Amino acid sequence: MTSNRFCNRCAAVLLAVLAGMASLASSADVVSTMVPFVTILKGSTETVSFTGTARLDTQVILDNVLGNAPVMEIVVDMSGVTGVGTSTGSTYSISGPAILHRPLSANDLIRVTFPFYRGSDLFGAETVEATFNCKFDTATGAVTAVKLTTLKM
Amino acid sequence: MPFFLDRKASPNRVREAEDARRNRQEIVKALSQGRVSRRDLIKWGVFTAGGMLAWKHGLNPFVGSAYAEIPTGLPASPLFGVLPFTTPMPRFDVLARNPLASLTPAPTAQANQAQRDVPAVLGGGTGPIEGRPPGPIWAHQGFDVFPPKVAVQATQEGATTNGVYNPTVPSSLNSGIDPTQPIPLRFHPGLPTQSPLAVWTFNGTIPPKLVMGRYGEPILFRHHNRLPEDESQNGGFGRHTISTHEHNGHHGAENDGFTGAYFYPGQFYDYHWPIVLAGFRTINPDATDRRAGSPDGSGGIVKVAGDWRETMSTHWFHDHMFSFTSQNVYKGNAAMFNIYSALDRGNEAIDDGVNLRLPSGTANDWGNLDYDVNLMLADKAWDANGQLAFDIFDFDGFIGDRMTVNLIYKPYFEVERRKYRFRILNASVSRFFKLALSDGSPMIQIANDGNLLPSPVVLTELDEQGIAERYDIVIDFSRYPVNTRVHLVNLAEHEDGKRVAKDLSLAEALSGTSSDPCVGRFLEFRVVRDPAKPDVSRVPDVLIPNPDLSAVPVARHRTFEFGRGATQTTNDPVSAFFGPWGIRTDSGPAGTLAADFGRVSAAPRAGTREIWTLVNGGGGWDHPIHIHFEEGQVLARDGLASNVPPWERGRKDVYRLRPGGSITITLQFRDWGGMFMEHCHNTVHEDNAMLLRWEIDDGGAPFLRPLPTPIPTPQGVTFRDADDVLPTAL
Repeated sequence: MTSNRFCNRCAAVLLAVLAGMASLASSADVVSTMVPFVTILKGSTETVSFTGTARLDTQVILDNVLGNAPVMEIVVDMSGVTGVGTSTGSTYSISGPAILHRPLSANDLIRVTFPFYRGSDLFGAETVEATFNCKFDTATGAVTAVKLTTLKM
Repeated sequence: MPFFLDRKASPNRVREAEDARRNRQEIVKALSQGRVSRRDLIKWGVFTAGGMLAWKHGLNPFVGSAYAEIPTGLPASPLFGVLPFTTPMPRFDVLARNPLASLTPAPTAQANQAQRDVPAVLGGGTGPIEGRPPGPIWAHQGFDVFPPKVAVQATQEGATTNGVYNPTVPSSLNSGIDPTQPIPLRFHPGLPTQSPLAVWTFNGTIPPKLVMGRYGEPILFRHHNRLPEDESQNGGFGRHTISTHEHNGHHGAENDGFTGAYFYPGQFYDYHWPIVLAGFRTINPDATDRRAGSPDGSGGIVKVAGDWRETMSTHWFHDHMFSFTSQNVYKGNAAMFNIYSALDRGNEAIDDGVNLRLPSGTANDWGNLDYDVNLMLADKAWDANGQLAFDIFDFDGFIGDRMTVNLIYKPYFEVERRKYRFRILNASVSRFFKLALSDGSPMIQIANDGNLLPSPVVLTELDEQGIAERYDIVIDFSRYPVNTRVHLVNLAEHEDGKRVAKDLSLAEALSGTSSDPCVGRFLEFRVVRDPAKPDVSRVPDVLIPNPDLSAVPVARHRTFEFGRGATQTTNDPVSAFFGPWGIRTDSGPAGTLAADFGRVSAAPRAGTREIWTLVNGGGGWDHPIHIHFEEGQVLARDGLASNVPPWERGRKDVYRLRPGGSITITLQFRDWGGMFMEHCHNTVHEDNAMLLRWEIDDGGAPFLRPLPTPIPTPQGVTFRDADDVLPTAL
């Protein structure tokens, strides 16, 4: 039996149109976008309510030597998101970040998985998939709109 | 643009691509045998000055096909009907640890200059039996203080059948493999056996070799070169001279596998690996701290000098032959080295307040491999006859189309329902990996580049893993019922050797739609049973904190920019090389320089600490930069400490720049001296010619400033003055 199936679909859907929400990070080339993250995931031991902010750091990297197509570096940081177990009141964390390199595109579906776990119980970690359906300003790398969907795997 | 021809490509197109590859192999062969130089190829218009293969039909794999099929590409390596996950993955083959007295002749502090007859094909006359440069500068440092206690020997030779496989675990923990059965050298039982000219491995055999050592027990590794004396007998690629780098041993430079300290067929080289904790001269010099220790063989600890926070665990060793590292490592010159310590002793049951009790086993005092598994990942390619093939399309990198683990094509591995540690080495030439489990389950990363992290990090997708990086992870298979099959999956899609083209989502990677054949599932874990004994292993919240450097002043800042368009300012026919890649040091006026192992680019003062910033000089590629000798700590990425991800907050020896990025690290230069290297570990970049020499040369006699450059010949090693010393080096 293979165990690569997605399960527990339909955890939460959040739409956030982020015009005007992007802000320049300390590096001139990196643009940070804060994405509100509110979702409820059904874990194996209890249901967990997550709230906070996911941060997308995006950067267009040009190949000014060979002239190849630009690449987008995307850092998805979930450290601003915490969860609370609805039964126990325990605190849950989401680990990361995820660092991705993708071809520069005006639209991209960024699907990344993250572990979430209670306290320091790393071996009890479970997996959430976060899908950021992004529109980008291809000149700056800024996220102009994003739709976030989460899924417990 | 897809790199490899689609499976549905027409026979005519495949034939055409095969013809083009054959033409390119003629170029590789001529280069590998020294019959032509890169300058010649550029002069003849075969390559551009930028290192790109000329846009010629019948040569460049991306020139439009005569059959008008677009896109074009490379011919796929034939599988001869072999299916994935149909053969077991063998554990590493552990090299025997013998008494020092087993070595004949006995090792000596200075290179053994006893003479032997040199074959005519190597110039005739006589030459030394040991290829190590002679004299006091290349004598083993600390040979009297840390005399070798264990002898390990291996040959480098052409492919042959293994009749003495020693996995050190029972067959039940090795997917049922019977170690008494001969193992022909082939990537799968259904694939052709490799010829002795196609593959050159340690002892000429597979599985890959593993050395097991422990702190306080110095090893004398005697490496015999038994490759063909005639350099044209190389199967089309590979160079018969070798230099063995123990990556990243804290040893004297004479044992580091310096790129210019290579040795010839018929010679041996004695590498003295003292296996000491860095800082042993000044930190815990009286060996009073139990955390700075080694397994004593009977459940206790032998205390050793040095900083316990410099304890290392997962190393590998490989060829470092100047300009030929990529071909030789690809051809099989790669092995691993597990180092055991009081902290990481390879016994999960001993509860002494020091041992971290990581997944391993319990039968032996140290070094149990039952649940501690080495994985060597490497992409390969082979020709129509199934023989290992190395292609050349440009000097950006080489990408294979067949994934191997421990040199087996897409194998399976049986596991019990418990925790396992996997020591994952990226042994590719140019390929980066990004790993996940096929069901998205979490993994716990405990080490990076052989160094246990300050704290474990739980991840569902590992970071990109550059060439030569080692990631140690723990997977808990107790979450799966018996008979589950779960896979390791590669998410990093390549289009060429420059960098990852696209990090895929797990769903994308599993979809089978990637044009990169090495994306997707490549290792199948089969959960076969419950463990016979309870799993008592642990992954503590605290592993090994970083050494505290706050009291160590910073002596210098240096900057190294890695880029293209290098120039060469020297012309030594042996030590200087020409290639599109290079390194600019401290924004020097000479610009980006191509490699010359006779040039000194940096010479830190012995006993100091420096801060080095490594900069990617262009956005079109990535470079995994390896700095030899002592582990560094990452201070910042792109200028910010907050950009350093948790899995890079320990010690490291390979630093991925990322496209367009920079990384700032701090390093100490202590305990040993001599000439070391810094280079890109995309070994095609390294060979063409992104490598520099730095040295610690101010420690007094026998060292000189600068150090003379060794120039090996079969008749003996001579020395020349350094070609060049950069103005900011000293």
